[in-house]
Amino acid sequence: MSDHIHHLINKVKAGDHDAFAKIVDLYKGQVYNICLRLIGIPAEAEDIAQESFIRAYTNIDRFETDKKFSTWLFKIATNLCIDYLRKKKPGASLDAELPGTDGYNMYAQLAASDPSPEEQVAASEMSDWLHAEIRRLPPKYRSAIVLKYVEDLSLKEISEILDIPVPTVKTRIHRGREALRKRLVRDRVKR
Amino acid sequence: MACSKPWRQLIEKVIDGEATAAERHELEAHMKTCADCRRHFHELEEVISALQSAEPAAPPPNFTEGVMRRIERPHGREASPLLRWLKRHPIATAAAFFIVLMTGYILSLWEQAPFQAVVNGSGDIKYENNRTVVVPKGEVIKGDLIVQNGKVKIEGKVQGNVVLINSRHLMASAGEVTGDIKEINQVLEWLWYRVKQTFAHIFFAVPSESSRSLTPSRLWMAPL
Repeated sequence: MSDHIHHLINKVKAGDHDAFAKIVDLYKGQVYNICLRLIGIPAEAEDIAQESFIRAYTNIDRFETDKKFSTWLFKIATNLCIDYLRKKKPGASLDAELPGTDGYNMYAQLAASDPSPEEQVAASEMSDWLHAEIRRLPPKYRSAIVLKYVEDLSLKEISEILDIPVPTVKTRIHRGREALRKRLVRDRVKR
Repeated sequence: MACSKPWRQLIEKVIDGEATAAERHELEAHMKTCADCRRHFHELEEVISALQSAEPAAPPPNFTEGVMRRIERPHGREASPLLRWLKRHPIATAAAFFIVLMTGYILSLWEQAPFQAVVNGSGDIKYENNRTVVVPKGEVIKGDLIVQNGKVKIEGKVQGNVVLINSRHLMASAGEVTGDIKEINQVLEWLWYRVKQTFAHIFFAVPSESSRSLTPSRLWMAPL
């Protein structure tokens, strides 16, 4: 698999467009799903997923062949999504870390007490409910949860994609799934 | 009521698959008696299995075509390979640019350098026709004599070095030079000499008259 990819990448570097189309076909599912789960709006997710491939294409010379291509590609996609989320939510944000609390923010405060919108509670399927809840997580927990459980990547890969150390990845996964668990319990009590 | 923190951490560890068999058994034993931890454990499992069971969404049709179309567009006005290379290697470009300018500058200095004789020290020199510098008989130059683009005739004494930059030495009579006679007739040699001089003046500046080359003690410029 990786030999095949590296072969295609070398062709792209030599100017072969069709080879890049093959790379897009191989990874479009994963890249699109990362974007969709992080952003939640299909049209926007498609746009950013396409943009990710275009960035990969224009920067293909910067890709070092001894690295894993998917990690590099997912990093581009994740960064674009996080940039998008940041731009969409300007100003004071619930994501802002409280000083001196190591990753604790206002979301964690809200999680226990804030009632969720009724439409989320009414979501019939567990997975619909869950994806709606993922989108309500702060982006840094959201990205860790999506890469870990939706894309099934290793902690090491996630750490490379998000540019954070493995222990921080773990902390974010723990906090993210704990927030989801609390919401699951709360919504169950309501129903 | 929530159970103690160490148990919660053990639950995380077991769920992450990082616990030892002994730790797993310990937790199982605990959960038999602690309903709260049991519920917490199962809720986490439920969240994770729901996350993992999510069906991946299919990418929209024509996704690949869309990407390829967006790639083709900028390639319609593709820059030349040289320009692309230059864009991709900004530091190399800057260095090459610098070297080209520097070379031109140095060459022009070399080509245009006028006839010039400088004494770094004390003593008088005279001029003859044809850009010739003469150290007259009986005259003693205490210091270095530097001649550029000319000829030099030493009839007296030079107690120091004689540096001839693109110049010739006409040893016509029994002149005496106590130091070296250096002839510099190549651009690179001349450049190296200049670099050495500059460094010597910056780092080993002797607070004497002879070292002040930026304001040489005596400077004669012959009309060309």
